[in-house]
Amino acid sequence: MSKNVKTESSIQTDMLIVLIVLSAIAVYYYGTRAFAVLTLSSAVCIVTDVLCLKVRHKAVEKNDLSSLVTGLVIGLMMSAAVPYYVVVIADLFAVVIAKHAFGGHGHEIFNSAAAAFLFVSMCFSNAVLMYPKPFDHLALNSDTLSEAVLYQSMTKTVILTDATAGSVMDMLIGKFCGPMGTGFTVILMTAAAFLMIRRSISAISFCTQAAVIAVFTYIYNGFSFKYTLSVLSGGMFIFGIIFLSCDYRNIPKTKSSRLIYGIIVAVLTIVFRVYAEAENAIVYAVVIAAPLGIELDRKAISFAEILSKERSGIFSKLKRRFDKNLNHVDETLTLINGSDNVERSDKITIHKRSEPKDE
Amino acid sequence: MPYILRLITVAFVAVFAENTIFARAMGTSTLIIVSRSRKNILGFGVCVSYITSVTGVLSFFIDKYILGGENELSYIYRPFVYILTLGIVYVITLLCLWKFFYKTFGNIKKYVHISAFNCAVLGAMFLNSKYCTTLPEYFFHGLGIGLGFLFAVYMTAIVYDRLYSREAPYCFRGYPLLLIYIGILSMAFSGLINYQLTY
Amino acid sequence: MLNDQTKLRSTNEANPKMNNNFKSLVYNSAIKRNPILVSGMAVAPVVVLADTFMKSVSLVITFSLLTVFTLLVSSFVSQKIVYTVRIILYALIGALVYVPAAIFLNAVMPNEIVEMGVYFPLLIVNSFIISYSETAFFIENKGNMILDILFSVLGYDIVVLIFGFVREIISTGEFNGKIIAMPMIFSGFSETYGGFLLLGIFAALFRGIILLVQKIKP
Repeated sequence: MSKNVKTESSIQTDMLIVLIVLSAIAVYYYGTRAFAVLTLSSAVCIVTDVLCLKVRHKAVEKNDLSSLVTGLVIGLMMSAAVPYYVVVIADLFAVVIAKHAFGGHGHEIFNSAAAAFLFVSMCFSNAVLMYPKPFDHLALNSDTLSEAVLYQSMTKTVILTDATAGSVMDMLIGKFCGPMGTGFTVILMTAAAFLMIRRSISAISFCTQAAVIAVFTYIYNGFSFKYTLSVLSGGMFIFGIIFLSCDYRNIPKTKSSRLIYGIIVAVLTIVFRVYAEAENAIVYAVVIAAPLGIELDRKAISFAEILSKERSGIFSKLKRRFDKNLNHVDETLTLINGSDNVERSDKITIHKRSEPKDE
Repeated sequence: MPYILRLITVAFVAVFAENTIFARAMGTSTLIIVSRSRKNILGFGVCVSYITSVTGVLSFFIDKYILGGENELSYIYRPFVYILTLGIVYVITLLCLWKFFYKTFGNIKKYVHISAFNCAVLGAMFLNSKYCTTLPEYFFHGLGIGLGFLFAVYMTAIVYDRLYSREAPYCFRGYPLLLIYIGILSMAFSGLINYQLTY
Repeated sequence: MLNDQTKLRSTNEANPKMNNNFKSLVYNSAIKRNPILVSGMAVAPVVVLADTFMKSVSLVITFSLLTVFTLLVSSFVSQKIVYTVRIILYALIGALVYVPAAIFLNAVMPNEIVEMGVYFPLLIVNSFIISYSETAFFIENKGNMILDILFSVLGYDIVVLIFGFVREIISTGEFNGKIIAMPMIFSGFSETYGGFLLLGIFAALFRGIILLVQKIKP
């Protein structure tokens, strides 16, 4: 193992530092209710995770912070006025259905936070997609809020009216109606730079996605800087790229596939945003791209195997470059396939067909 | 030009937004059988797309000349006519393959029958007559449904190992997990349409 | 005298054996190979249509009627016919059975049939009919296989009814128009994706329950 390989817990710690900073700002913007939502979300995630591990007779790893990260990410994607039970349902969905049903830590197909947010935003769209204004500090027990103090998000307004309301400064510091912790563009960009320097998120994937989305929006909307900024800061784009699509658990493991994965996520995001006018387009894109990421890894490895058979010729140079990424092919393969023990027995019992006789 | 664009939209909507599996759940049982092996997916998908597009063209003529007009009783014998058409296409395809491409025939015949008689193909014919008006539309809509089915099977087959892995808890392993997987994907795809699907 | 005794013994033995056979047949076809929760047959109409109890009732009626009669008629198709033709024949028989069924059901419950849309004629080619018609009547004797089919259909029906009932309550908070005090309503479960998710959870729970029962009563 080279020194380049980062341990999982160090990645988690880096993520957690950023998430805690974002949470602090969210609490400053939205008051104690934001704090309550974030605490509840993390607590429910951790407790459910431990319970699931107990039920499955698995050991509880003490330095596994993944459920805490999931809890905070879900909390930050919510509105500050969200009813508490919605948060609990999102956490339960993330941990039980999207994580442990698929085999637990390291075997998930979808990003659990993305799947859970998608589920609650579809089931309880009125509760999840209505937001208070920043610095409207809400009371802790305000569970059934009157609609007078809640507004639709800035993104929704932009989609519906095609006009941006706030100033550039507001967008940079996240002072607009929207999810609790996803609008602080300046801080999120700084965090992304920090995580990329620490190599906790993939720079290739992050830059590809951000660039494709930004350039497309800039050209598509008549070269308007303000509009582009409003799209990027609202709709949790940067937050989504950092914590949902570049999350180390569901990003492909090889560099070439990370590049293609980034392009796929960006294109899907644009499709959802422009064609379907979805408010949080990146969440949909991440969920759909997740299985494709797994396949991209497999293709990259089989491609590398083909290249390794070529001793000379034009491929040899390519091969040398490719090999650098694939020092740990076996390790990567187990990461991709989950494990070697695939049960191929007929759990789906379908009557055996009699063979076709002749035609 | 706008007409060509419209045709492409028809096909794209049938592949992604109104996908046979993710939006309409037609042919889920076939998907469960086919997604087991990754080798045959392409051949199977080509078969389905071929049959849906050919029957799409044929169903245009059927709708226009046989079942056309204000016939209230057509709902009774419509399935019979469609299945008869499907059967004829199926037999002619097999005969052509047998006559001209004998080697390919050996590989393909295993999954020709399952690609001809399933809910997705018959559903394509019914949906064609509901949504389309002109011949190219019938063709592209049929083709789109076939490709959409191929897409859904591909999306399932690439994670088949994960769904049947020993790491997944026994209660969820296999079929239940497959349904949940399709459910989550279907949830994401339902974001593509902001209207109520009719059937 | 001796002959009579053996006869008596054999009948005495035959009865519990038959009972056992019958039990295992019911267990196998309705529970162990439950069409919807284990084998994944005819999933589409359940996922899309059965979002209220009344809709699942109409689905159950149409499904049972079409499936049982189609399979009964298909049992007369000779195995000597070439495979290709046989498959077309099964589908055509389904379409023929559909004609009287459609007339009858349209007279009895016209609104429900309209609600089912294209999924009603699609029941002709559901995977239950396709897989059973090809295997059922060639393996064992006819009587057993008819029982097998009846109990499989019964297993399917019961699950669909429970599924529709649960889905209606958690997605609308009502049952047949009566409001039930639910702490929260998951509107998403009435959509297609919700159907998939709920059916997946049902299948997992079903497997869990069987595992539990086997542990208690081996």
